[in-house]
Amino acid sequence: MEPLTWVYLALLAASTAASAKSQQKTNQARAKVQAEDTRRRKEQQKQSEAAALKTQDSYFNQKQAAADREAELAQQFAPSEAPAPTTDASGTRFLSTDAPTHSTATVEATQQEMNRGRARASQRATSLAQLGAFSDAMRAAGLEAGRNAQDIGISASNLQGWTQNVLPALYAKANTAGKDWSTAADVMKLVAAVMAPAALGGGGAAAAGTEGASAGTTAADISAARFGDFATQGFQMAPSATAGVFGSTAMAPVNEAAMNAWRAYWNGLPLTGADQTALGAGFGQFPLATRGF
Amino acid sequence: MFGDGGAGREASRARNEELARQGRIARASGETRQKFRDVFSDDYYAQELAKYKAAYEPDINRQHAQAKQQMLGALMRAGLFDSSVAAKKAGEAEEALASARNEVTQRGLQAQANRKQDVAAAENTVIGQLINTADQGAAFENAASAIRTNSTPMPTPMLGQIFTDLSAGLATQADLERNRQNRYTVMGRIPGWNSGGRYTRNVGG
Repeated sequence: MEPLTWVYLALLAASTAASAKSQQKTNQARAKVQAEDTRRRKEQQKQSEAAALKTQDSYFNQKQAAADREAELAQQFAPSEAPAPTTDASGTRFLSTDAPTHSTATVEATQQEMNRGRARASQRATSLAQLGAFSDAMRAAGLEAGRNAQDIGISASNLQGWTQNVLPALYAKANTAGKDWSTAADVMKLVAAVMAPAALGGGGAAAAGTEGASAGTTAADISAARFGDFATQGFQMAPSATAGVFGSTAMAPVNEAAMNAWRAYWNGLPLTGADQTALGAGFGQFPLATRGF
Repeated sequence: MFGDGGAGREASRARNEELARQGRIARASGETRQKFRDVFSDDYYAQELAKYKAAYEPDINRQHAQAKQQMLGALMRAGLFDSSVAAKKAGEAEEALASARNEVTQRGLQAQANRKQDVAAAENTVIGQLINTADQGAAFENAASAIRTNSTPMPTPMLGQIFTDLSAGLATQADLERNRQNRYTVMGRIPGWNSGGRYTRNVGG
C-alpha cells in the first residue's frame, strides 16, 4: 500500500477511537449526573420515611404520652381546698359564706360530708383526666403529624426543584462532555475524506491494472465482463461506446457522443443516425417498447 | 475544543439557584417554626388556661356564695341547721363548687385545644406557601400575621346560673321532718298491701 493509504487508514482508526472516547466521556458524565440524582432521590426517600416514622411513633407510642397528659389534666381538675366549717366564737353568720358555728358533732359531720363531696369531685376529676388524656395525646400526635407532613413537603419540593430545574441542565452539560473528542474525530474524518481519492485512487487503478495484466484482458474484455449480457439483450453495444460511457478501469475520458445518445435513448427521444452509430450498429432498430420498457 | 455552548454555565447557574431556593426554604421554615414555638409555647398555653380559669373564678365564687347563703338560710328556716341534712348539703355544695370549676377547666382545655389546632393550621399554611414560593419575606409576614391573629384572648362566654339546686327540696323536707312524716311506705305502695308500719326513712345520717 501507498504511505498515503496508511495515513488514511490511521486517520480513520484514530477517528473511530476518538468517537469511542467521546461516547465514553459522555456516558461517564451522564452516569455521574444519574448517580447524583439517585443519591438525592434516596435522601428524599430517607427524609420522608424518617418523618413518617416520627408520625407513626407519635400515634402508636401513646402510653407514656397519655399518662403524662393524664397527670397534667388531673392537676388541672384537682379540686381546691375549701375552708372547713368553724367552731369559732364569732357566732352565727347568716351573711357570711363560711359556715356558722355548730355543735362539734355537726362540725364533724359537715367536715365528713365535705370530704366526701371533695372525694366525689376528685373521682370525677380523675375520670375526666383519664377521658381527656388519650384524645389529647392523639390530638398532639395529629399536630406532630402535620409538622412531619411539612417536612415531607419540603423534602419533596427540594427533589422536585432539583428534577425540574437542575437535572435537565446537568444532562445537557453531560451530553457535551465528549464534545472535544467527537470534534477531533470529525476533523480526522474530514481530513481522511479529503485525502481519500488520493489515498485510494492510485491504489485502485494499480490494482485493476495489475489484475487486468495478469488476466491478459483488454478493455473490451472488461466491458464484456461488465455488460456481457448486452448482446443477448439486443444492445450490441460497441466496446468503444461502453468504454466511453461507463469509463474504463483506466478512467478514460467519457465519450460525449455516446453519452448523448444514451441520454436520448433513456429519455425516449428518437435516435439520430449519429446516435445509433455511437451506440453501435443495429441499436436503434428496436423501439423501447419492444425491449420491455 | 470548541466549548460546550454554555451548557456548563447554565448547569452551574441552575444548580446554584436551586440550592439557594432550597436554602431559603430551609432557613425560613426553621425560623417560622421557631417563631411559632416561641410564642405558642407550653408555657403560653398553661398561662392561657390559667387566665381562662381565673376569668371565671369570680363569677363562680359569687354564685357559689349566694347559693350557699340561700342554702344556709333555707336550712335555718327549716330548722335543720344542726342536722345531718345540713352536713350533707355542705358536702354537696362543696362538690357542686368543684364540678363548676371542672366545667370551666374543661371549657378552658377545649379552648386551648382549639387554639393549638388553629396555630398548627396557620403554621402549616405559612410553610405551605413558603414551599411554593421560597419567599422568606412573605413567609415571615404571613407568620407574623398568623401569630397576631391567634394571640387574641380566648373567648370566655358567660356561665349563666350554675348553682341552682343547693337548697332544692329543703322546704318540703323541713315540713316532712316537722310533721314526722319524713318517711315513705315501701310495701304500702303495692296495691292491696297496706301493712301500716313498713317505712323507711328518706333522710340519711
